[in-house]
Amino acid sequence: MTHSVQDPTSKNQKSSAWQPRILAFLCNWCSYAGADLAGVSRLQYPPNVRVIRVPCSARVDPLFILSAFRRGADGVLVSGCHPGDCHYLAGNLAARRRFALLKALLDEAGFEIDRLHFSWVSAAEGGRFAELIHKVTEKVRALGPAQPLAKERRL
Amino acid sequence: MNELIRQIRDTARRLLEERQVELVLGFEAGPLPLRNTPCFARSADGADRLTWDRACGLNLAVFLDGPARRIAILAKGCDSRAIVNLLKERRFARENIVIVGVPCEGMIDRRKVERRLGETDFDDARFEGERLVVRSGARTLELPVAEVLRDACRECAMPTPVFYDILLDGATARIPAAGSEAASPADRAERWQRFEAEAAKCIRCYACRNVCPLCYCRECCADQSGPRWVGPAPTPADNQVFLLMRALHLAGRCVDCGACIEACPVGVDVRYLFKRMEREVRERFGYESGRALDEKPPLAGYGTDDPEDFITDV
Amino acid sequence: MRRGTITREDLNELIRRWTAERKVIAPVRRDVVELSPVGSADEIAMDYSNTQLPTKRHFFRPSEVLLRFDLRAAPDRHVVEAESDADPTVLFGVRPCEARSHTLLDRVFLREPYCDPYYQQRRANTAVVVLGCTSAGPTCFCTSVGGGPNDHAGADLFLTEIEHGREAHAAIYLLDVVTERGASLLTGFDLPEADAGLIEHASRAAAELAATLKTIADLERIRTAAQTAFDDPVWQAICLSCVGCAACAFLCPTCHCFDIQDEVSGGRGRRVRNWDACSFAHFTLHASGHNPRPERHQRCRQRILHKFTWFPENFGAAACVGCGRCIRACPMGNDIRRWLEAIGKKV
Repeated sequence: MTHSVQDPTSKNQKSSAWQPRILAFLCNWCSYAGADLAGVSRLQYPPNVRVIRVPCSARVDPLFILSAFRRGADGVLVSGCHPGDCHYLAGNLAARRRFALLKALLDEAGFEIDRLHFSWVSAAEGGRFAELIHKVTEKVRALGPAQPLAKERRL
Repeated sequence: MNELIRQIRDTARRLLEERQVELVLGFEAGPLPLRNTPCFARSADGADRLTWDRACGLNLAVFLDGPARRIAILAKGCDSRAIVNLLKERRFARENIVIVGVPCEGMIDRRKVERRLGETDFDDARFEGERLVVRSGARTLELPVAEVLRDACRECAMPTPVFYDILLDGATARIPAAGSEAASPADRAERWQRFEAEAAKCIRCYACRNVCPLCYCRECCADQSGPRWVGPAPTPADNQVFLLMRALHLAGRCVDCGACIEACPVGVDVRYLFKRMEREVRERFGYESGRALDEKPPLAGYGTDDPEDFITDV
Repeated sequence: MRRGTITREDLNELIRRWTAERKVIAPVRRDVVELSPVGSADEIAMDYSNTQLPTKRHFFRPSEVLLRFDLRAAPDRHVVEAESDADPTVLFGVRPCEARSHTLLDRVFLREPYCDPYYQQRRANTAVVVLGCTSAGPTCFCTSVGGGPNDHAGADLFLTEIEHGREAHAAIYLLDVVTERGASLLTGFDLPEADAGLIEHASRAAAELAATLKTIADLERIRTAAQTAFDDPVWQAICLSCVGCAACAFLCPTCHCFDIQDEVSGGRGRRVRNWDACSFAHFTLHASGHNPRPERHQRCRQRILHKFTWFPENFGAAACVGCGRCIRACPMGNDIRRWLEAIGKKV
């Protein structure tokens, strides 16, 4: 995450111009290419998402997600290939089990689970990617700045 | 000495004398009431120190990866399930351990006793049938055992070991009045408050992690310093991330033995998070932790038709 | 030293006065007895064995920010040292072993030339009112390490219950004014002198209680263990069931090891001092990967020898007050008294 003075999404809770900061883990083979397609197709979507490219959605350790929240992310999105289309055959299927548990766990703990999203976007789905970002951004925006789990806001 | 203790000692002595094992892991009387301590019996003398009652709540499987090559272990139902999981994870060879199953009548939750006394110190505790008589200074308290049993024991479905080499039958597994899983508050904010309050107590001594037979990572994510995922200080966020990660890492592996809750010196109790994981694993993947050696751990595999109810669709 | 008597009612009035002008931290019975800020005397538990956690966290915080840095700030604000939050405080009703632990921590944190400013300010702003013991818990062994139920070390005021009274407010206490700071807490309060008979009675009761406490191993001999038994197999034998957590160290009123870490995010962050414990395997881990204490028994040995050999050599007393919390806190039921006994036989 970069910190620059001009950062349009920098955190200032008091400011009415608060913008959510959302971290997106996108798999290299599908969702990242989907985001690329959205870009070259000149589709509009909110600029609140910072992308981290990962080889596969299964590369995303739940610890990365909790760590993102701990470090002040307002939302996290993980997106990979559709089930059955994984470049590594079953990486996304293995990840699916992990994410189901993580989401249930955070729900049990009372964390606002609308801050956390998992989705499947293929390389051909530029439009779907843009729509997804709209949806996720709106859900996170509605919740306001994240408090639970966040540590670094108070640094 | 009751029949069960006699059987335990006889069995331990026989295993040691016949050189079937080098070491018998059991319990001996500890320094305080309701506090048996692990016993590492290597000889007939050691075997005679072994004891058993409702204060054997630790999970001895945590010592199974020690230096001794052939080990016998006294195992309650939950301990045997932990051993099943450890075998699945190839922590040790099956032929190197002798599992001596002990039917369990449920273990005392010392915290419940302390809360009833309003005091962490008590001088004496003894069982009188189904009652526990506790003395602290001039005060004596008589408590029905069922009221001070661990929640895990009250809800235990398999108090008798499911997996063993020898099963002792001095006692029949008999748990008084099983309760049901206490429901979490329906309101999200209330659930967060509950979690926040439990996490706030944590002093990050890692007693929970270290007494857990299934928390055996060579380097815990809470200890890693490059990168520092979880800060070592007991700040709210770091405590929360630590407790959540522990629950997640034990999803499908936790056997609900309750050792971590008993171990906590400040009374952090997030068992409900572990229970939620247990339920999710059961409902989503049809898996029961520690039930059978030939069932594949849910997170070591995948299903093509696993539920996708949590996926954000557009 | 002035010695007077005070009723519970007058004591409550004093506490009321204190709460008006400073923070009062006292034992409160919730699930168990804990130290907690109180707003009124009624919340305070006076009939307890010991608090779950020791008082050290009041002076030596589990986590303390030492400084903050921000490279985006003006150059003269790049690094800002943290101020100590040392509000005037009364630590009320703590046990004599707690007050004694403060005098031991003082030897570490207040020794010139490396005087710890955070600790120092909190100590300077905190008055300690001790409640002498009239009974002993099952893990108490204070008399073996130089303390006792009537030990005044570290106390500003020392209370001894001399009459329990049928109802709580009817209790009567002997009140010893041990220090100037203690006396200043009583400004404007007329303390009636205690008569000699009462004082005599109280000290006899304390001596009788002290006599009931068992003496554990001979500490003078344990002190030589570093020379005579450093490589003895006894260390492996005692620590068989130690799982290497820090429940003992974090609940110990005198353990004071810490670790300093920088928490950085972008160009800013903070330097934090956190409790640490020698029982953790990574406590001594070097950056190279080498660990001088890789084995569990070496870490247990470190903990014992630090308390009973090296601390006495460097600071003149054992780093233990005999509160017994480590015995109660150990998840595996290890007992330092048994450990010392076993070591004592080897030296």
